[in-house]
Amino acid sequence: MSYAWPRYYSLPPFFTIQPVMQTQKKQLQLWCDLVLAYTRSKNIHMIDLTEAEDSELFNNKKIERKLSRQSIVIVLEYLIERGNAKWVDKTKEKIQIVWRKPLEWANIIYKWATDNGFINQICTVYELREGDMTQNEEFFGLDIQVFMQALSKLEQKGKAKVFQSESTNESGVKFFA
Amino acid sequence: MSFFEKLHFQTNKNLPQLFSTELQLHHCSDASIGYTGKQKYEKKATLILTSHRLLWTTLKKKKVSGEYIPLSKVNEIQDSKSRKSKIKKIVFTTFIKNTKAKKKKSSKKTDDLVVTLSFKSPQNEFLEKFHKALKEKVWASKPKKETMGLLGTTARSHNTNKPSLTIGISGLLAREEKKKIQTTNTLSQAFTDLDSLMQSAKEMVQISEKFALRYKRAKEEEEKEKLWKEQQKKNLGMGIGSGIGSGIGSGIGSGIGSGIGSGIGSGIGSGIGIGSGMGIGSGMGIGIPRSSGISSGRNTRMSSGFGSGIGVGMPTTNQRTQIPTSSKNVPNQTPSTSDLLEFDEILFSVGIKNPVTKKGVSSNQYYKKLAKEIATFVAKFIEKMGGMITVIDTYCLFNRARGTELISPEDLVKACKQFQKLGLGLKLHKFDSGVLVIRNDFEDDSTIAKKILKLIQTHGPITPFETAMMLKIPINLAKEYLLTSEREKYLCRDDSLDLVFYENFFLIENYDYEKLENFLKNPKLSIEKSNIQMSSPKSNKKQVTKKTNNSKKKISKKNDDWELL
Repeated sequence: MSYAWPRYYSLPPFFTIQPVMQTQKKQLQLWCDLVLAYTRSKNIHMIDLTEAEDSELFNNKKIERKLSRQSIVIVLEYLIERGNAKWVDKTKEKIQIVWRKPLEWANIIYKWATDNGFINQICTVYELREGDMTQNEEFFGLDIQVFMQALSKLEQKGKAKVFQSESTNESGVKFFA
Repeated sequence: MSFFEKLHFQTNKNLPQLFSTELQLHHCSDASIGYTGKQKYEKKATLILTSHRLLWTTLKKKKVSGEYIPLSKVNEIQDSKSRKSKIKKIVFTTFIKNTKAKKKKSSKKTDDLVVTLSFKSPQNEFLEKFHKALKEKVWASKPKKETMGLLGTTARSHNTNKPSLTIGISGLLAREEKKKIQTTNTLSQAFTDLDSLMQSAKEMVQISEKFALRYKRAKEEEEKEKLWKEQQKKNLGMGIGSGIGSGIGSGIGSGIGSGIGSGIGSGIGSGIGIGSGMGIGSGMGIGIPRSSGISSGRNTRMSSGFGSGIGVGMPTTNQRTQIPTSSKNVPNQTPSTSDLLEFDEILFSVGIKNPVTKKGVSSNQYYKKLAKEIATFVAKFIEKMGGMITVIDTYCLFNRARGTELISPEDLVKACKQFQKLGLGLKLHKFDSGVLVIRNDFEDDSTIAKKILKLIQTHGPITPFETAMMLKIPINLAKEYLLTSEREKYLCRDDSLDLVFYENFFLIENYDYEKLENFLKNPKLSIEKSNIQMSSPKSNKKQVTKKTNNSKKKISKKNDDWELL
C-alpha cells in the first residue's frame, strides 16, 4: 500500500531546507504534518535516525531527492518543539513520535471505557492494548509507553487508577466515573 | 639665393625630402650660413649634413623652406688657422660659380663661391663628419660598391674612430661591439621620439572627434532605424573594438661611414575596426628611419614596425575587434545606419579625452570628477546590461576606454560611493554575497525580484546559468538576481544536486501544482517554446526579424526572453 503523499512531496525544493526564514518555517510545518500523518497511518511510534534516511518518508526515490541527516534532525527538532516528539535517550539516535499527545490518548481510552461500560471495572493493560475487545480502537497496539503515559494522565485526573498485580507483572487499570 | 638649389620637403611635414640612399649624419639648429662677396649673404638656419648634401632650413611663420648644396659641389674645407678645440666656424670652397663675387684671394678660382658656416655652440663633430662625408663620397659610389664585402659599408658611430677595414675574428668581434653600441644608441633615441608619437595620438583623437560630429548629424536624421539597431546591438553584445595603433619603426640603413643622423618619415592612417564586418580604415604609423651602425650590407632602408593597440570590447560578445595595423588610407565611406551606432559606441568608448587624473586636483575633487566621468560612461550601456553592471565589468571597460591614466580598483569603488551624494542617478550596491554592482537609482531589489519571478513563471524552474544565458548577463549577477528574488520570498530553492530555483509554492495559497509538474515533466520544452511577450517599459520597439548573419539569428530568439523584462 502506497501512502497518499501530498503534492509538495514530489517537488525537489521540499527536500532542501530553505534559507529564507519565512519560507523555512512554512516548510518545516509541512514536514511536521507529513511526518505525523505518515507515522500515524503506519502506526509508527519510533524513528531511528540511521534508518530514517532511507525511509520513504524522508527519501523520495522517484524524484531522487532526500532530506540529509542534518535536515532530518532539523525537522525532528521542530517536531519536538511542537511537542509531538521526544528523544528516547540522550544519544539522540531514536526519537519517539507522539502524533497524539498522551492526554488525547487518555481521553480516547476513557471514552471507550465509558462507552463500553467499563467504569468502575478493572481491565488489564494487555486487554486494553491487545485484547479482542479493542481491536478496532485507535489505541489498539499503541506503544506501551505511550499507553502508560496516557493512563497516568487519567490517574492525574482521577479518572482511573493503575496498579500492578502482585502475581503477574501485568498492570491493570480501574476506571472511575 | 639663386646659387643654391631649393630643398624639397616631405608632404605635410616640415621635414626635408631625402634621396633614397641619403642618410642624415648630423644636424645643428643654431647655425648660420653665408657667403661673402659683392652681396653679402647670411642666413640663420638649421643645418643638416647628409651623406649627399648639406641642407639648411628656415622656419618662417610656421612655413619651412630650405636650400642645399650637393656635397659633390663642395671643393675643400679650409683648415682653421688655429687648431682650437672649439670650432665655431667652417669655411669651405665650392665649385659653384659666384657670378656676383669679386675676386678673392683665398679662392683658387676667382669666381668660386666661398661658403661660411657659423655656429653658436662648438661643432667639432660637424666638421669631422663633414670631412668624412666628403671623403667617402657616397653620392658618387655605385650600389655594387656599397654592398661589397666588408669594406666601406660599416657606418660609423660617431663615438668610435676605428678603421672600417677589419678582417678575421677580431674584425667580427669589433663589428659585434659596434652593433651593440649602435643598438643602444638607436633605442635611446627611439624613446625620445615618443613625444612625437603622443602628438600624433592627439591628432588621432581629434580626427575621431571630427568623425563623431559627422556621424552625430547623420544619426539624427535616421532615428527609426536607430531604434531597431539598438535592439540588435543588445544581442550582438557590442562586439566593437577600436584601436589606435602606433608604430615605431626603426630603420636600418646601410652604412655610410659617418655618424648617426635621424630623419623622420611618417605615414598617416588611422585604424578603427568594427566588429560587424565593416571597416572604416585608416592606419597610423610613424617610421623613423635611422642610418645606424647595424650593418646589414643592404642598400635600402628597412622599416620595421610594431604596433600597440587600445581595444575596447564588451564582455558578452563573440565578435572580436580588429586589431589595427598600419593600413592604407581608405576613403571614408558613407556609413550605413547599422554601423552608425556601433561607431558611435566606439567613439564614446574611446573618446574619453582629458581623463581625470590626480594631478593638480585635490583628493575630494578628484573622486567627484571621477564619479561623474564614470557615471556618464556607464549610463551609455547600463540599460543594455539590464539596469545593473558589476563593478568588475565597469573597471575593465572603463580602463580600456581610458587607454592611459588608468584607475585602480580602490579608486573606482571610492568614486562609485559618491554616486548617490552627487545625485548621478546611479548607486553602488553590495549584495549579501559581497558582489558589488552599479545600478540605476530607481531600481531596487523588489523590481528585480519581480522580473525574475515572471521569468520563472514562464520558464519553470531555472538555474543561475540559464538565467544568465537568457538575460545576457554575467553568471554571478544572474545568481544575485535569483538570490534577491528568493529573499523577497518569490522563490524557493532546490540545492540537492545543482542549484535550481522554483516559484515559492510554500508561501502560496492554493498553489497550482499542475503547472509546475508539467514543467518538471518537460524541462527543455518549456524554455525553448515559450514565446510570450510581455509588455515592459522598454519594449515599445518592435522585434524586427531582419537577420544579417547567423549569430544574430540565434540571439534574436533569446531576445524574446529579455523582452519579458
